[in-house]
Formats: sequence, structure tokens, C-alpha cells
Amino acid sequence: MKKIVVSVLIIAVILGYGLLARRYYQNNKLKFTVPKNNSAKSKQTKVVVHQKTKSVFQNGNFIGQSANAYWGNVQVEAIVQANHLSGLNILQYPNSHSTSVYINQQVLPILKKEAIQKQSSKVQIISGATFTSEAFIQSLASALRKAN
Amino acid sequence: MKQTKLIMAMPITLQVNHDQDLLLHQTFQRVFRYFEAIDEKFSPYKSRSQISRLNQNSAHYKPSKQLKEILRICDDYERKTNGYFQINYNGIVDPSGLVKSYAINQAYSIIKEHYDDFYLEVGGDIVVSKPVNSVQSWTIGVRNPFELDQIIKVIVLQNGAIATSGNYIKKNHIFNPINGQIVANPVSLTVIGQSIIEADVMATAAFAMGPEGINWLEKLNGLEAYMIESDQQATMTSCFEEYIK
Repeated sequence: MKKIVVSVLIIAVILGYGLLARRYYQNNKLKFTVPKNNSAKSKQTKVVVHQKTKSVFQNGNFIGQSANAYWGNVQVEAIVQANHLSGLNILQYPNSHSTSVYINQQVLPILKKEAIQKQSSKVQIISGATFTSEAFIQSLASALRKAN
Repeated sequence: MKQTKLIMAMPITLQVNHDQDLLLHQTFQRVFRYFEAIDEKFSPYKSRSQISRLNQNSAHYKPSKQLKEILRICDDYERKTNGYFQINYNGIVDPSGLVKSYAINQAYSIIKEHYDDFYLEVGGDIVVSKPVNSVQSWTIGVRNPFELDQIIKVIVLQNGAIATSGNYIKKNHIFNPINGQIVANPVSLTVIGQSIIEADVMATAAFAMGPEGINWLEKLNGLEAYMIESDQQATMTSCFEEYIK
């Protein structure tokens, strides 16, 4: 029985999210961007309208409709940051069964990912895993070799 | 004025933006002497240190007030991290993981008594300060764990702390205290917070949790994080980008 409850709830959350995502995709096909104006002299601001094929979300928090998920109502809130879905809040969930409460605790935010890329080394300080004196001396020696 | 010294087997760098005068020189001296004193008192590698004596005779050794404070903070964090921050391994107490950030925190207070435009970096852990209403920030690079002379992220911060955990320099020194295994993934985890103790301990604990650690950090208030995994992909907490240049 527990397994059925678990499956139903997972499906309900996925469906809820899917519907929400589709709605925002449909609403946000047109993306407005204001290009950065680098020239201080020009006072004109151009607004470019892109026809996007990929979904772009508007920033903000969006609350979905409350949906019946057999053991009770489920309602989710989507958090959109930097035009990406960055998290989901469960506003309503069936809480009369311990399994439902357990599932709610397992819902994790969707965090932004990227491939790491080399950046300008013009920084004042460097943070890294505990740099030992030995590593420091090696690094200093190689820097001095380059300077020669 | 900027100086680097090797203490506690780590490079310690202090930079204070201020005219050089007697007080400034005295402050640099106080800070470096403070780290030397902490090393004497709490190094697990020095046979006469309080940590060595505590381990030699744990039943009868009376810890000093300062050691009691350190052990109490460790205890608090062990609870806050569900045991992922641990100072007891195989019957040996080693609070080195906290002593470092504890010392940075105390040194920060010493500098802050007279100055507000400075940074202090101890083996990759950093505290920064800028005057109130300053328009400037400190720029901090996150080291590429795969190419040590490269920077892969630039963080801008006025006031606060940054700590990075990783197994890529001191090989395999962080393991999961729950299952006793060496953490192979992630390879680097950087945490930004208000307090260096909080940032450092939470980075260590979340690192020990493996790739799930970042989700745990996401739920904590006042901390942002950047995790790099072995496939060179990075994951960030939802407000991390507020600190990106």
C-alpha cells in the first residue's frame, strides 16, 4: 500500500511541475532583451525581440493550481531565477500519512549547473583547498622561474 | 602593507590598506604571533601541545578555557551537521579542522580593532573587510582543482568569509565520518558566509556528504556555495551568482 501512495505522489508532483513548465513555456515564447549600452553618448535604448525556440522563464515565483492527488491536494510554487527554474516549493501536500510527509522532505531544489571555465587571473586573493607550505613554495618557485 | 608567513605548515597572508605606521607594524606582529601561539598550543604534531596531552591522558587532562571553548564549538557543529563534522577518529581527538578557522576568526577581531580595509588568507580560507559605505570590493578567485595555476570563478565580496574544501592538494584528507570512506567526488567545494568558522566547517561537512552536500547547503540560511565535480561540472546554490563578477 505504501508503495502505491509513494508512486501516486511522485507522479502527481511530476505532473504538476510538467503542467506548470508547459504553461510558462507557452506564455514566454517571446523574450525581450535590452542590450547593454556601452556608449555613454548614445541615449537611445534598443529593445530587441527574439523569437526563442527554447523555453525561457520569467524571473519570479509562480504558484500552480491546487491539484487533487488522491490522498489530498498538492500545490507547487516554481521559483525562477536568471530565467531558469531554480527551485520548487510544495505549498500543499497531503500530510495525514507519514509517507507523504517523507516524500515532501525529499523534494530538492534544482540548482544551476555549468561547465567550469578559465577566468581572468586578475584577482586579489585565491581560495582553494588547504594550501600547504610545501605547495606554496613549489608554486612560488615555478612563478619565479617564469619571471626569469 | 602586505606580508606572507609560513605558520602551521600553511602560507598566511595579511594585507591591510593603510599608511605604514607603528600601529600597523604592531598589528601585523600581533596577528602572526597569534597564529604561532595557536600552533604551539593546538598542533596535533607537537608532543607538548594541549591536543597531544589531551590524547595521551584523556581521563585526567584538564583542558584550558580556550580548549574547552574549541571543543564546545566542535560539539555544536557535530550536531548541526548530523555528524558529518567530526573531531574524533579511532579514539583520537583532533580539532585541527576547527582550530584553523577559530584562529582566523580571532585574528580578524585583532585587525578589526584598528582597521577596516583588509584581508587575511590562511591556506586558502579567507576573511575580507571593507569600510562601511565603501564602493570597493575584494576580488577572490576560486582555484581550478584540475589546473592549480588557473582561476575558474571570480567572487566579489566586501565583508565576509570564504572557505574551500577539497582533496586535491592534501590528498585524501577529507573523508566521510559516517562510512569512513575517502571522498572522491566532489573535488572542490567553496562556501561563502558571514563567519569563517561557519563557512569552513559547513564546507568540510558538506564536502564529506559527497555531491548531495550542495543540496544540504542550499537549505541553510546565510551560506552560498559552488561545487566542482570530477566531470568538471559546477553546481551553485541559488543566490551564489550575487557574488559573481
